[in-house]
Amino acid sequence: MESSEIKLNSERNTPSATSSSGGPHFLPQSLVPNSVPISQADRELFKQQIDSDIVPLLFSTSVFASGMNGALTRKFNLETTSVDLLERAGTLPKWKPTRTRVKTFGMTFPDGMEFIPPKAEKEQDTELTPIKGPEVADSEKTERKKPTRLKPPANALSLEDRLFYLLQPPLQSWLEGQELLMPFEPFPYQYEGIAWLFSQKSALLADEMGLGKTMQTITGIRLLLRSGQIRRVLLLCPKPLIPNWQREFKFWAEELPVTLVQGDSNRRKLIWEMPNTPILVANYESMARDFETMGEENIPRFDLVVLDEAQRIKNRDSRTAEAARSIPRKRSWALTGTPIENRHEEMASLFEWMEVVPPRATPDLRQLQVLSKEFILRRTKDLVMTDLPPRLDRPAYLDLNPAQQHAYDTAEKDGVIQLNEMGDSITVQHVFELVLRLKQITNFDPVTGDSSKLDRLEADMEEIAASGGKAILFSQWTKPLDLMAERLKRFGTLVYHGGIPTKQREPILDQFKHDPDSHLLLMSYGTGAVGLNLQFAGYVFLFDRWWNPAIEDQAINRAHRIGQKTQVIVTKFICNNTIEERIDMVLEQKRELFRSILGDGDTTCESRSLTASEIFGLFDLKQKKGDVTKKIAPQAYQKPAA
Amino acid sequence: MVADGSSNELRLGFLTTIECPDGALIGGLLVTNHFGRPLEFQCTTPVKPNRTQEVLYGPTLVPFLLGEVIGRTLVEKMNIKPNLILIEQELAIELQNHISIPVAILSDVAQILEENDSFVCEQVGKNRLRFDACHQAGKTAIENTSKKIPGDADLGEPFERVREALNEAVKMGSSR
Repeated sequence: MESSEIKLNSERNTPSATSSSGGPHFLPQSLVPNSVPISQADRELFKQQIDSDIVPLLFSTSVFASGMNGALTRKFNLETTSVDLLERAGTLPKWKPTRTRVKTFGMTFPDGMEFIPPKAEKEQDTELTPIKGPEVADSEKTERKKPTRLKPPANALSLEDRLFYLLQPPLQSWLEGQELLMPFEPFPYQYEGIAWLFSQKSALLADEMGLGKTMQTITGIRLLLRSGQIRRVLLLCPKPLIPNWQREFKFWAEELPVTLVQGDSNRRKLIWEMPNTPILVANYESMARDFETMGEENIPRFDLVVLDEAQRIKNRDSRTAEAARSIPRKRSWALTGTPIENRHEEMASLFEWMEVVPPRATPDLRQLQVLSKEFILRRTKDLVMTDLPPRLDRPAYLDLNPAQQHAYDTAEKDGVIQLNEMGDSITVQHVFELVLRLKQITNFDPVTGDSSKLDRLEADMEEIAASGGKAILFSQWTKPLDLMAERLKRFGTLVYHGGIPTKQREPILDQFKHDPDSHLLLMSYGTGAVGLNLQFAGYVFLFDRWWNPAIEDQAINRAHRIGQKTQVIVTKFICNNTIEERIDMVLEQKRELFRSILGDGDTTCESRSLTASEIFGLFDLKQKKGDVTKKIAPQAYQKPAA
Repeated sequence: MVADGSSNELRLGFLTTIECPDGALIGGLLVTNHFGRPLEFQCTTPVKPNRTQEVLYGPTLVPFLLGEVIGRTLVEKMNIKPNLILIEQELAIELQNHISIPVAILSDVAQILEENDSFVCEQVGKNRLRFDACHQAGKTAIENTSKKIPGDADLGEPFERVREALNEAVKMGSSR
């Protein structure tokens, strides 16, 4: 709007003015170009009539200060937060296994070379297609599969740390990438296990035997190495399991160079101190010995230490447990199918090693439950392997042969009398010896060698061999195994126990697997119960009973594990009216005690072995003092027998 | 197009925004390699337009916020520049007007049906990508991308990661 001048002429209605004016009638004369000039007389007339003069009214107009235009130009107040992924530098790890392994291991460790595939094979990998699981033909199953995402661990507090885990791709697609080839697609619960291990600094993977703890661990290690999270791993396991780990590493992660700590002490020292060894595998005994010699300050550091069969450190005062605790490390993983073999205190030792409880801590049952939730992952076959063929337990109650019966009765009678005579000086050791003697008689008559169990076994084996099946048999003792092997020769029987030199053991397993005429493998619980994969065997015989059902389950699970195509028939020999029947009853009654720690669904490892008082309870031991008959029982706490 | 000239490896950007409970928008951009492994992640602080801006920008407010305010800022902030930026919110295509890196919309079936001449569709992995027909660089980038991405790759998945990360950032921010 412009300033304007308005003439107040409300009375102005002169015809001459309106008719002669070319513009609007209210405009002043000067603004109407074609208007006729008003005469002086008229002006005077107007003046008299309105008694006023022309009043200029000036309106100064400007933009209304609404603030809106300012808002249009105002910049948004915007900040950015830069979150550099931990990964950014290390996502493509500096350590390239394909590059370093030849250089390092080809020159230094000939033993490690066998696990490195030749280069030509590696090149073929590029042609490989993405992995497909063996069991995914069913379209419903495929749809059900949910991607497994990494979750930030509870102790990751900073945003950067949490985002690091949240932004990782689902494990499935990670593993499908051609960088990480897998021979088989893992099961969904295994993906979960791998994801859990990946994000845990302290972890106890306690899956039931046969669910693939080894594979989950190897893949977890592989992903951590690939993502640059770890550089150096130490895996400790019992000596007989080392070849098994070598084999599994080769199978699941062929590109990872595995170095065995073996040889004489000088050579082992050299290996311990060797740089650029991503994965070292050692047995507990040599680790304990070597680290004691080195002294605490010289023990090599590791990014991750894995204890296989971690129940080996259940006694926290043992040399092995102490040595394992002394290893400087960033991550601690323990693997065991039987986290509790005897008492819940054993868990405390594992937690102490995992550094989640202070040294010498004695968490109570409630605290153990809390710790278990955070640091233990345990799945049972019932829960996850719904498609695993069933395991059929078939107790075989047998009567002793006459010769055995006679020997048994005599031994029991004499033994009990002997014990009773000893009165209060009796110890659990004395009772234990009697139990062992009696158990041996239920296996074989010491004089004639008669055995009702062997008779039954022979009959069963005729049928199994005729149908081309394979069976494994477990016994507590190695000597009877050799005796049996002689009598059962015609079934292609092989023997595998602690007396067999380590080098000969693998060929025996190989022969049992591949020789169609080999139908029976005789094993001792001590050597054969852990770590072996014998899922091609459909029959398991427990010739005598172990003290602890957890160990028996370990043994049975050599056959009843992933890969088993048929049902597994487990025959447990129990001789009627003998010590075996009584032991079986006691063990069966004990399956409730530890259920609370590991939760429902666990049916295997809560059982305890026999305690001193339970061993005493196997016999009716009484001492006669004058007219009074007193029951004999241990006076104070005594360690369990097994 | 190789944004930083240092590597020919394919780098994909996944840009999305979430709305905070108070109505503010927070954007995140994740750059991954062709295996989906994360290389870099940037996210914004919450952006909330005031009432005046809401009134004056009208229907152009959201594209403006998603494309120019949030998207452009994040792309400029990235140390590792992606070869191709994927978006899942249609309105964020505004970003294409402000950067030279090609931007493509991850389309679902319904969107494909509605497609018009200004967009071109291309199958990449399991998904279809739509991009501006006029943007020649986009066509080249998407053709390169489709060669390197396996047929069963799900390009929608990384958006879930970004959303989860943004939610985590909001959660952490509000707990401070």
